[in-house]
Amino acid sequence: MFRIFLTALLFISTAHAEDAGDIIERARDVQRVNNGIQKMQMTLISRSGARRERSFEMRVRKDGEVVKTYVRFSQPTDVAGTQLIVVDNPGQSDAQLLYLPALKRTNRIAGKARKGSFMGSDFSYEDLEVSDDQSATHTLVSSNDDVWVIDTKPGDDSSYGRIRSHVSKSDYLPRRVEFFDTKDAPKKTLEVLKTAEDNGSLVPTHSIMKNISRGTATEMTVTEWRLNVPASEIPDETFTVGFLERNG
Amino acid sequence: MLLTLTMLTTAFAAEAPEVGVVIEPMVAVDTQSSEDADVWETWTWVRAHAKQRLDNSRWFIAVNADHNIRSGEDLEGIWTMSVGESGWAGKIGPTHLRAGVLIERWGKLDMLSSIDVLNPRDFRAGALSTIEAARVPVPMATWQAGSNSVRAEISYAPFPQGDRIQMIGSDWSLIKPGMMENYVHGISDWEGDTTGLLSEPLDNLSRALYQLDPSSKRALGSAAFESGRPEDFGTQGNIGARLELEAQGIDAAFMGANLRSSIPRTRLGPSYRDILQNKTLPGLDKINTLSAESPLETSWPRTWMAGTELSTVLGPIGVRAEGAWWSNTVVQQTWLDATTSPTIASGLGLDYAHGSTIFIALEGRWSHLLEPVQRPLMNAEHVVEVGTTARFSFAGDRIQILAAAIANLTFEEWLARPEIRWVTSDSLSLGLGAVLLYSDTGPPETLGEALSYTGGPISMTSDNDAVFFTMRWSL
Repeated sequence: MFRIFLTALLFISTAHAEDAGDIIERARDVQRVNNGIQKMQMTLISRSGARRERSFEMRVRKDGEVVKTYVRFSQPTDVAGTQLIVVDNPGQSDAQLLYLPALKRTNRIAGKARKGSFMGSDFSYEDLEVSDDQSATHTLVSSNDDVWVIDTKPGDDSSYGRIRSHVSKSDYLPRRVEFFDTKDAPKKTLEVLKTAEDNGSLVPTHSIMKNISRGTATEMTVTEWRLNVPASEIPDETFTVGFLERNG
Repeated sequence: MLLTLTMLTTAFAAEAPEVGVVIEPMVAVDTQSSEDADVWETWTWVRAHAKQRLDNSRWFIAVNADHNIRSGEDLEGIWTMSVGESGWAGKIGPTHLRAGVLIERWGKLDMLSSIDVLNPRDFRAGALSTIEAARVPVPMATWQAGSNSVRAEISYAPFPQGDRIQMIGSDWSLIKPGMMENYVHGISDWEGDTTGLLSEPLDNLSRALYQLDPSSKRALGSAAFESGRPEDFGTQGNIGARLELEAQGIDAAFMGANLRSSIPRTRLGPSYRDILQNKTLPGLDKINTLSAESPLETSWPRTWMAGTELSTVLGPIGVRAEGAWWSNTVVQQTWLDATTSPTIASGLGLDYAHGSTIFIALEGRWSHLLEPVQRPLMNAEHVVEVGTTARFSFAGDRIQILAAAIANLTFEEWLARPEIRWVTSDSLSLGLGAVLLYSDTGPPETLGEALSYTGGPISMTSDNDAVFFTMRWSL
């Protein structure tokens, strides 16, 4: 499973493959996160169109196959200081830690918690994970000059029954992703609205996740980014309980 | 060296300061108001803060204020302002230092923690209090060193403070509004050799107490119960050490501390206790003894404390646990006495979450006095409590149902605080809720009943059921 908004690096590629598994693998490869720091804005849009803003900074560090993500909210005041760590470790269950400033305590997030909403948005904690789901199967549904349409059936641990990705042939970027529930009813759609190029890397700077059943949407905008930062800028201690509590 | 400097200056880019204000007014109406009790009260909590992250460090400054209006027999307005969490935190070589006016959280349990001991608590608002208002920041420095998986930490708070408890004059006090005045008013009718001699001055005293304005009554209560505190030379502070371990999926800590009690050990003079308890005025021969005796002595004993905490995840459930031992806990007794006893306590918490839409936590705590205590007040040899908190969010977190409840199984009493909150925007939310209290043992109605109370802490205030309306305005 891949998560577009998390990715900082999308290397443009001209290579082509026709096997669904290979395409997904390639899409995953180009989205694999190297060390990066991004400032992001999340806009929660209600069914009536009312908008609420969340600002946060995200730091991503890659150690081999292990991808570690740190998120800290700075706005609005009510959620400022909330911090989240996600560690995607292939072959192991992912670890998530949530620091809530009101409690001044770090919560370990377990199992089904990840399937729920992330800070009231249409993204779930599960959507933040970037690890490979080895039990997922991929089927090429159709192909034209511009995109491959691929259905992915995720493993049993997912809240999704099927994920349909529209992967651009020019850059392997999934421009549109449709999420279906376990009864195969449409649940959410993710679209990349805008990208920016940075030293040969493609950054999806504006994405929107729409919740079909609720009629709500969440826009994700990358306002600033720094790619390929040295690992020393995002030290390993960033991803510890101690760091969260020292910075609370 | 140049490389090191470059890395240090680029590690965390300086950011604009984060500035915010949270204003949280609440109006609570007592639904079973008794004679002399407050009919309604308001609380307004204000927290203004600014913080900025710099290269490898950050500064933070905050001011806390609260305003309380109580309307009953008297109409009172009380304004308190204090420094919120303020200070500096950063890296010094391979170590981390935090210094200033701090809150240093120990323990994994939120409602029934046994080991969150470095900061005093604010109990003045009773069951109406908010999570943020409950902990009082104190001057403290915390120094931490270690690796990502093992860390050692030392904290020193040079000027410990007692818990913020209003002993007299509030519905959440031990001595509730009117109790003291009514007691003194009745003294002139007591039997004893000196009744004739003392009835007039006691009547005058009673009238003077009635006429005292509320702030003077509070000041009298504070003076009586907070006397005897060691001078703040900085040498009799609270010191704590902590070893933290963080492994795959588990974090644990072991801690030890030497602390000054956050509540005083009081001792009512025996002659005064006889008078209060037996409602008999002293004979002429005992008047001299009485005048030579200190009515109320207070001391603030120190205690050693050792504890441990752990949290992990088992399947879909978060598991948290705590355990602690104290050498010398202050245990309050009837008739304004107190003693100390070694104590142990342990607690377990389980929680389940589904994103930010569902959170349910269950907590339990058992505490045990290791030495027998005669006439304990709102305490027992074994105390077992269970608590729960739950939050359900709907419509993208715009509608929230919040509930908290604690049951004290030892005293067969419970407290529940349900609330529904409408988040109208990022800056404003409105809440409507209730405080429900239940106990077989009714609350005390006279000073004598309060000072010799046999129920638990919830029973003591069980006539304070209330409905409340609250706002949270953040900028």
